[in-house]
Amino acid sequence: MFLNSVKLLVRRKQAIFWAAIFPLVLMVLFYFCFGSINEQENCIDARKIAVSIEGDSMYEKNFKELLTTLNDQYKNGESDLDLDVTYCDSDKFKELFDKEEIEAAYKVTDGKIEILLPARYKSATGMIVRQIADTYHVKYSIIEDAISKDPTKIMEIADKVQENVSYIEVDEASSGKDPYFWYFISTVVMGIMFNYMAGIYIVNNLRANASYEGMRIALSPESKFKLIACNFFAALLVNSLISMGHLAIIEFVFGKSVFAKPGLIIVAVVLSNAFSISLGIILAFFFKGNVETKVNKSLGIIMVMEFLSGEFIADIPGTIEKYCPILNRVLPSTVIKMIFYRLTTWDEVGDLYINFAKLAVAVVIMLVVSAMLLRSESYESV
Amino acid sequence: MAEVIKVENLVKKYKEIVALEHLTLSVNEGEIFGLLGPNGSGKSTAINCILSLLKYDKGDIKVFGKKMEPKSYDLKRLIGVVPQEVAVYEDLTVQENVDFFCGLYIKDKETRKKYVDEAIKFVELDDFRKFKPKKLSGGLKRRLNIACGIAHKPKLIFFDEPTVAVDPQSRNKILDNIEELQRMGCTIVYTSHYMEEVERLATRLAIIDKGQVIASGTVDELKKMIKKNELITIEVPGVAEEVIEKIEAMKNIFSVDYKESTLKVEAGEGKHNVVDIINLLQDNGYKMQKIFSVQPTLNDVFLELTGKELRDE
Ligand SMILES: Nc1ncnc2c1ncn2[C@@H]1O[C@H](COP(=O)(O)OP(=O)(O)OP(=O)(O)O)[C@@H](O)[C@H]1O
Ligand SMILES: [Mg+2]
Repeated sequence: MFLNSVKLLVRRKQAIFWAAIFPLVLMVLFYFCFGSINEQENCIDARKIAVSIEGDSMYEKNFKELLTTLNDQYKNGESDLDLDVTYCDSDKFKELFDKEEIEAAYKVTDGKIEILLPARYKSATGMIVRQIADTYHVKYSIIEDAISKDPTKIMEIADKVQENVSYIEVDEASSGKDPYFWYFISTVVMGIMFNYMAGIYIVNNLRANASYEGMRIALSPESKFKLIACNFFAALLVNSLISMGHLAIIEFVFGKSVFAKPGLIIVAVVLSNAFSISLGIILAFFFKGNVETKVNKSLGIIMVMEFLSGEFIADIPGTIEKYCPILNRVLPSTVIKMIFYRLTTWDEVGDLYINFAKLAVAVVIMLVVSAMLLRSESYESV
Repeated sequence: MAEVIKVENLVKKYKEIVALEHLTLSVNEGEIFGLLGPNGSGKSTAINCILSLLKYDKGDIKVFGKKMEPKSYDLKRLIGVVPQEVAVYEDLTVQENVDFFCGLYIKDKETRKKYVDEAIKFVELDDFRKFKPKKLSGGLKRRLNIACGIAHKPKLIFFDEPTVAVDPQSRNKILDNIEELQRMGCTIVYTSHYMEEVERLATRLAIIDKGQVIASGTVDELKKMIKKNELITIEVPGVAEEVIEKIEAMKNIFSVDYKESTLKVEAGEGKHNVVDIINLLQDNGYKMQKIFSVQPTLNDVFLELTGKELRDE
């Protein structure tokens, strides 16, 4: 039966297309469009900022002081925020931007900081320069008096800046390693998310009111738990192999290293596929209508998740982090991406195991619930 | 004879539509039981209730003497179903399909292989083993549908309109198969709205309309239920008015119609209606050209019981 389930899945062309071919096509297209940029632009260097200080008020002086402090902190290894600051006249900004010697500029006047960014700026850099200016502006007005007596108070502002930009740094540090590497990884994750379709087909095959084949199955003496398990594992096997294939292509065809921690990568692939399949299973029970309707409605949900995880607009998770950080911790597509980022880029384990656990718990809950639902085998109508 | 299925006062509603209204029937071991009724009369609904696939509102259903429930796996093992719609996987070949569904019942690989083989041979799909269903013609698909339902050698088989949209040759083949299964000892429930099929196959039958059994028994019993039993047509020129009156006066005769040298007589039950009329005509010196007598069909039974035709298209 397991074998037959595998056969069924492999021959289901639509699902296979979305899971296997579509991400691959995207990767190849991407490679050809941006492959050249990829080679020129590698690590994030220091963020190059030009600053023009127009007067000599305390506000202006202290801003300069803040930048120096931030630089010291970086040099002492206390932070990841690396700023390469040039002080110059604001008239020179345009020239520097044109020559791409700076990524952002501050024009500081008494009590006000103006931020200048070129038309095409790195989103993370934009966020960081804004954070620095905002934090300084807000914090400074609070401790203005204190700072005039005790100049070391500037450290307080510096720490606050560090705190505020840390998540942007984390996000960027990864893509900074190779900005296009992320694209490949998140494409693999998207492929995995599309595997919810396998889940929908599984339920469709097993339910008497969803398909005629399901009716036959419902009439048979076969255990429904066994059927769901068999189909689930068959889909898991097929889809995990597909994801491994994608990763292998990234490694061997596009030359990006992804198998630094092979064991954990396999765990990640299996768990995240298990998640998307069981998500499909539960959604199939949840939505009414025929298979196509279910696939389409679920696709909507998946797309929203993908959007929120920054698939289309990279800033989204950063914005979420600012206003509703919990969402980034529980949103499946973000969690799955974080797992892959951890495994392919960062050295420290961090929240990896917590994220594994989150997925595992979600999978178990979804499967148990759907098996229970399938057990109510008598239907109002077929 | 043991009762294999017993249904009493079965009521099934789909929201406000009443599909079955106090349906009662019983099926004996070894017989082909026909369930005859027009579209929408509730045949499929009845079968699906018996199989406990559908919830029903009222009634009592026993299969092999036991109450049938969704988890009656011991009963399900004995039952085979050939659903009204072709229920096979488009992505599996003929052989894989039969094997898949057989595998739901038969775990032993050797036995299953043998059973799958036998089922495929039985419906004569031997040459199409490696075909996917979409490459099969409608009739062949129906045969595959049958193979999937019977491969595990069930004792009780339900056929829900297995011959819909099938050419006469394939239809005959399917009917032969069903008779063969009965000879092999299976009990069969056969639904159809084709009266000749039921007439040919059924040991006993129930005619249902609007979710109710309006008549049941053997084919002959049902035919006896209606008054008009025989339509006699005789081509004979120039029959005199008085002779016609004499025929009308004969016992067992309901109506006589004489037009354009054709005499049409509707007669009730009786062994020698035709002989009596022929004798009378001969005695009066008439020359008869063509004589034929038509026995009533189940359609007539249906017509008389419900006042409408059992459409046979
Ligand atoms: N799923 C359903 N929801 C609502 N009404 C239904 C459903 N299935 C059947 N019905 C209604 O129940 C009645 C009986 O339908 P059923 O399918 O049992 O008839 P049938 O005798 O099998 O007809 P056919 O010869 O067309 O197969 C019909 O009036 C039909 O409209
Ligand atoms: Mg029907």
